[in-house]
This record gives sequence, structure tokens and C-alpha cells, in this order.
Amino acid sequence: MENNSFTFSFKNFGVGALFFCAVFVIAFTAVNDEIESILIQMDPNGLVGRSIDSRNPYFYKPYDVLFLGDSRTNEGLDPNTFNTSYFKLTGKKITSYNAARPAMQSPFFYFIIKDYILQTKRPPKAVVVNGSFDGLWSKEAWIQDLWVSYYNPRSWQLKEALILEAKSLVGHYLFLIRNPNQIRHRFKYISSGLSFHYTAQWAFKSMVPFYRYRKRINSLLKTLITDPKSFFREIEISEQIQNVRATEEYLGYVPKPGRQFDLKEVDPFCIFTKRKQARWNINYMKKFFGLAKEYDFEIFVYGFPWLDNCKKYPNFRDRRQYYFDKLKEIAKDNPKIHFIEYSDYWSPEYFYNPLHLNHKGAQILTQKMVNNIHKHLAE
Amino acid sequence: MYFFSASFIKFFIIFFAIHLIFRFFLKGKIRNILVVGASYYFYSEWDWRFLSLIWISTLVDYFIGKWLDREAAPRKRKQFLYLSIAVNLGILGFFKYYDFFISNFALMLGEFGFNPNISLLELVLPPGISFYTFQTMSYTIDIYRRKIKHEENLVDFACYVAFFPQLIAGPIERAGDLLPQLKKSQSVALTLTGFALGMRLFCWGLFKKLFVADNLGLIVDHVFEAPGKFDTLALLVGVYAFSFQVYCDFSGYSDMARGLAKMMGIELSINFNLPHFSTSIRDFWRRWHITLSTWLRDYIYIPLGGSRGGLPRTVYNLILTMFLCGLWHGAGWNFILWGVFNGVLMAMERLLENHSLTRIWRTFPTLVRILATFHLIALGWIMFRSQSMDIMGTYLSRLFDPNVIIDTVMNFEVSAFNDGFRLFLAFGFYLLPLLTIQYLQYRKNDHTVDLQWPAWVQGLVYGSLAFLFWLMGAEDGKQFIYFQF
Repeated sequence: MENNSFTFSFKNFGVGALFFCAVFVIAFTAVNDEIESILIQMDPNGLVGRSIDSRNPYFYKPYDVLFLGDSRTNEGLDPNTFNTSYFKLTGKKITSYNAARPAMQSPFFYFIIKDYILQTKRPPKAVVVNGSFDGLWSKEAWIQDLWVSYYNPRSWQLKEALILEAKSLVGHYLFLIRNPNQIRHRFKYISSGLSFHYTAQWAFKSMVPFYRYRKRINSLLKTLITDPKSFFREIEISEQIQNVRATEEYLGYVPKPGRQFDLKEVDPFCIFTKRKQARWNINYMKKFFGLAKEYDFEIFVYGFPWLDNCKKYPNFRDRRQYYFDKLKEIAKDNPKIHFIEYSDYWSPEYFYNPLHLNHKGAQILTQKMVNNIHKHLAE
Repeated sequence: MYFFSASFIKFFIIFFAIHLIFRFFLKGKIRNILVVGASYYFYSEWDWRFLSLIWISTLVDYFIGKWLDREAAPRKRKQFLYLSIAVNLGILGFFKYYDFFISNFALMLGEFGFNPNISLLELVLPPGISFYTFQTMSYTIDIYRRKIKHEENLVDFACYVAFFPQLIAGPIERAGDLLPQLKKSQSVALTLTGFALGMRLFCWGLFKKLFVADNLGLIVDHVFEAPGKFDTLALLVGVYAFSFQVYCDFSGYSDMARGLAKMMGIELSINFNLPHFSTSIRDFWRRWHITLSTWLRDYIYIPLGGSRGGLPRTVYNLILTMFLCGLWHGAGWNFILWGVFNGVLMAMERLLENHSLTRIWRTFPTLVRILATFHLIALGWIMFRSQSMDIMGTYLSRLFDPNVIIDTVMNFEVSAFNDGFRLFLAFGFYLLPLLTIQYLQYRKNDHTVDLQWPAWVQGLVYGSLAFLFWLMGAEDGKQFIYFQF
């Protein structure tokens, strides 16, 4: 049973606590790197988030064109095809890199491009970005699980995120002071895109592997216990991603094979509804567009092709247009921003799944992109 | 508001800060008003509607306790006692058992050709009702037995009924133990030592719950979901895992409750004493959910006659007590079966107590007796955990099916795709830290054996446990199993 007869003094406790802290810190420091090296092999999110930050040696080179956006651009625009097609069309050489990554949103459009410019000391001639709602919309789980956890921040990035959030917060209260009749909205503060909480997480999580891998290791162990086949499939996928990311050959692009998919899968992607404007990262989108003016390069915002089947969904085209118009509104008065509007609907044979192009589709989209922007680049 | 949730931690920090201020700057009974207020707030976070049940229970037992103490006439005293029991068990029975009894009654009538149109109430079970009902009942029964005096101060009594660390899942405290502390705590200074020990208990409970119980729960859920598709080894691991899951879940809660109370200067009863090291069924029940076992012993088994009425009567009393123990756990046949099964085991142990076989058995190494007891108890856990009679039947029949056993042995391979092997590894991984520490506690017969270790060993052990907990503790802790009781 419990023995309460031992002598316990604050002195002993203090010594114990000191030892505890010392051993704790040493143990954590020692295993931190080991955990990183083991778990990164098994974590697609980690591989994605780290593949475009300061740890990627292939990114910080003087490219002419950078592709930016979410997974659709990442799997939809092939730099090798772009470079070749451009040469065929104009007789001039060009270099491009696919810096788009899954779940990327406007805060990271801004941070990644600005970092690229600061590091290479040379802006690209153009940035091509897909203008979908996902880039604008703050899907917090994505920001948290992928970018805040894995993208290695530089101190200026953290500082800017904090300043922008502070300005946004002050702005909210100044608005309330100037408009006392709006006081009922005092608790409805909308973050600038990266809240203080997320910025703190960004600083801490990206540095401390045992913290950021907590979620991943739990899900992996759960999968291993309940479904070992899925576990090994996940490991295999991670290896594939790592192989593609670890080589310069693909220039950041991830080719996908063709796949027959059930057209019933299409529904969730074609029935998307208007998302609350309040959750949009407009501040960062403005800052991203502002970079083009500041550093003198062009930004091409393009509409991504959708499946033929989406046409049959009522108001689908209107809803797509709604987001595009919002982007135009943000880019108003900025001559460096160009919109490429093709309302294309493509056959399923070009898609890997209802949302992403396969390699065949990517070749066509890349070719179209060259046709659309080569004149601007020549200027 | 689970103890491991951020909202509870915030609540407790705020509460504790105010508690300290009250302690230093305010004298008298006002501090218990804070504890009662905090307890009611804590409970209302679960379900504010059921606060009224706590109030009814508190008021009824407060006044009946007062009258019982003052009343001299035995007949009237008995009437007061019956009134208290009727109110308490009435509320408990209505919320917990009404649907169970009605549905079974309808089923029985159906067997005789009647088709009664009985609708079920489908009531939500008020959190902690079984625990605080037993606690208040012990108060009135103890006053009736003249073991304790009634409590004059309603606030102190309300504090005893609703003391938040143990309100939802015990330990079930006796008024004679807790009430004097609650009253005394007003003059006892909080100590840093007490706080540190309380924190240690709380963290240990957290580790048991989030690292061991919730992770073992993955194995348990997986196996109990479809026992028909697993081999003998996987089924064994499933039930082993549940044995430790239910233990770590509940004892983890008890440790956290005791830790919180200790930080406030209050000692709650020990609820678990290394039950997996029991060498007999009786020994197990002396170590498992001690506050319920002793409650059942003092208020049911002994009043029924205990072991005073000869062997047949003792056997009857044991089985009846354990039947009620099963029923207390839940309104379901699986719980009743589990209770009766344990009652039968205890009765058999009693019947064979003086048999030569028992004397021989006692000469066996302790480890053998521990393992045998563990497996018998584990058999009962299959009944406890099974969500339906079908699952229980499949589990038990497959576990003892000679063909499945032969298949398991013949097809065994060291591979991640062999269910039994994989689940056993996972089970061992999650259990090993707990088992190692508990073995050391068992060897020294001291739950605080770690405090005798050199500081650097403590640092290493706590650091490793914290690391495991932080990295692999369940992300979204599950509800405590005993909350449903």
C-alpha cells in the first residue's frame, strides 16, 4: 500500500527537480534528431512541408518562372515540359520550378516567394498560381497539420506574421472604437491568416520533432494495429514522395499516373458551396500580389480545369467565377497581376482523381500555359 | 470536462488560485462555499440539468441525517433510513435501470404470448450518479448505525457530496473519512510537499489513462469489434489488453482525483492496490475498486449475514452481493453475468478454502498463482466488455475452440501480418513501462517506491515516461470507461 512515512523535504524535491529537468532536457535533445530522421521517412506531410523551405537545395536557384499554388498545380504543371515547349515556341531558353505544394494557402504564397527573392537576390520573371478558393480560404487543419508543423520558418517570417496579426487585431478594435454601434461584434475578430497561436506553433512545432510528430506517430501506430496493409502502403507512398522530392530531375513537379476512378467520387468536388468570406486570407493574398509590384515581376492567376461531369451541377460555373472575381477585386489597381480565364472542362482520361490531373493532363495544361504567357515573358 | 482536457486544466488553475487567496485571506467556512461552487460548475459542464439531482440527494440526506441523529425511537429511525434509501435508489433506479427492466419485462411477457405496447424512456444517465448516490447512502446508514454524527453545516455536507475531484467516478468516500478533512482543511495550511505529491499522482494517472489505457483501447476495440476473425493469440491479447485498459482507465482517474485532492490538502481513499498482482479472487477484490468493494461488504454482504450463517448462506451472500455489484456497473446482462461470474469464483474459493487442493495450490510459486488469478479475472472481463451476447458467445467459443487453437499454433509466424503476433507486440510495448514500475511497487509493497530512488534515477524515469506520454499518449483521450456507470 501507499507508504506515507518517507521523509519528503523541499530540499530533496528541489534537487530531484533539477536532476529531472537536466535528464529531461538531455534525453529530449538526444532523441530529437533521431526521431526526425526516423519519422520523416514515414510522413508525407513532413516531406511536403519541408520540400519547399530552406532545407531544399534545388529551390533556391535563379529560375525565370515559378509555379505556385496547391496540389493541383504541383501535379498539374511540369517545368520540364514548360521549358521545352517554351523553347520550341520562342527559340529562347527558360528555366522554371514547381514550387506549388499540397494545401498551400495565401500566407505561404507570400512567405515562399518573398523568401525565394531574398535568398536568390533575384526575383523570377513570373509566378504562375492557380486561382482556386483553396488558396484563399483558411482551412485551418491544413495550415496546422502541414505548414505550421513542417515548414521551417525564418525569423523574419515569424516576425512578419506576428506584426500582421497584431495590426489586424488593433485594426479590429480601432474599428470598434470608431463604430460603437458595432460593439456586438467585439468577439468576432478574424485572424489575418496566421493567428498568434499558429505563429507560436509554427516556431515551436517546426523545431521540435517530438512535438510535431505526435499526431503522425499516433495515426501510424493506430494503422499498424488495425490495418498493417495500409500501414505499409503509407510507408511506400512516403518513399515514393521522397524519391521524387529528393531529385532535381522533376523540378518540384510530382507526376501522377493515369487512374480509372469512379465518377461517383466526383460529387464532393463539384458540389462545393460558397465558403464564408470571413475565413479568407485576404491580407496575405494582397501582400503576395504586392510583391509583384515591389520586385517587378508578373503574377499569372489561372483557373484550373475541371471534369466534364461538373458541368451538370447547377451553378457550378457561377461559383467558380465567384472566387475568381474575388481575386480580381483584391488585385485591382495592380498591373502586375494577370488573369488567365479558361473555363475548361476536361475528359476524365486526363485526371488522376476528380481534382488532380494525371501526367497526360499535366502535359496539356503546361502546354496551354506556355501558349498563354509566352508573350508576357518575352516582354 | 475531462481531467486531461485543456478546459479542466484552466478551470483547476483558476480554482486553485482563488482557493489559495481564500486560504490566506479569508477565515471560516467561506472556503467550502468556493469548493461547492466550483464542484457545481464542474458538474454543470457535464450536464447542468442533472445538478438538480445532486441538490435533491444533498438536501434529502442532509435533513434525514439530522432527524436520524436526533430521533431516538428505533421505528421512526428505520422509517427515516428507508426514506433516504428509497429516494436515493429511486433516482438511481429510474435513470439507470428503468429502460433495462421495462424492456426485459416486455420481453418476458412476449414469451407468454402477450404483446404489451411499452415505450422506453431512453434517458441520459446523469454523470456520476452511481458514485454520489452510494456516497450519500453510506452517510445516512452510518448515522443510522450511530457510527458517525450528522453534519450540521449544509455547505460542508454539500461539499462532501459534490467534491469535484471524486464526483464523477469516485473514490466512493465515507463521510467519516472525508467530512472531517473538508472541515479541517479550513485550518490546515497547504504544503508544497502535498502539492508536489498531488502533482505526481495526477501525472501518473494521466500517463495511465492517455498512454496505457487509451492506446490499449485501440487493440481492444479492434479485437472486440469482430472476434470471429481472430485467432486464439489475438483473442488472448484482446482480453489481456482490456484487463489493463479498464484498470488503467479507472485507476488513472482515481489517481488523478486523489492527486487533485492532495494538492488541496485532502486525502482521498486508495481505490486500487496493484490488482494484477493478486494471488486469489478474494485478494483481487481486496485490491480492485476498493471503495466499492468495501461499500458492498459493509452495506450489503455483512447485513445479509456475511459468513456468519454457515457455508450455503455465505455462498448465497457472496453471489448476491456480486450480482448487485454487476448491476451497479450497468443495466445490461453482460454486467450482471460478470458480477455473478465473480461471485461464483469467490464462492468456489470459499468452498474449497479448507480442501487439500487449496493447501497444495498455496505451495505453488506466487507467479503461477498470480497468472492463474489474472486469467480467471480476465475471463470475466470478456463478459464485461462484450457489447452484445453474440459477441460474448463468439469470443468465448472461439477462444476455447481446439481447432482455432491448433490453427493458431500451426500458422504462427513472426510477421506484422500475423494478427496475434502484431497485437501482442503492441500490447507489450504499451504495457511494459507500467508493469515494470508496478512490479517494483509490488516487490516493496509501497506505491511511492519511486520517491526513495536517487534523484537522477527519478529524473531519468519521469523524463522517459513524460517523453513516451508526450509523443505517444492518445491525442484525443477517450471518455473514462467508469463514467458510464
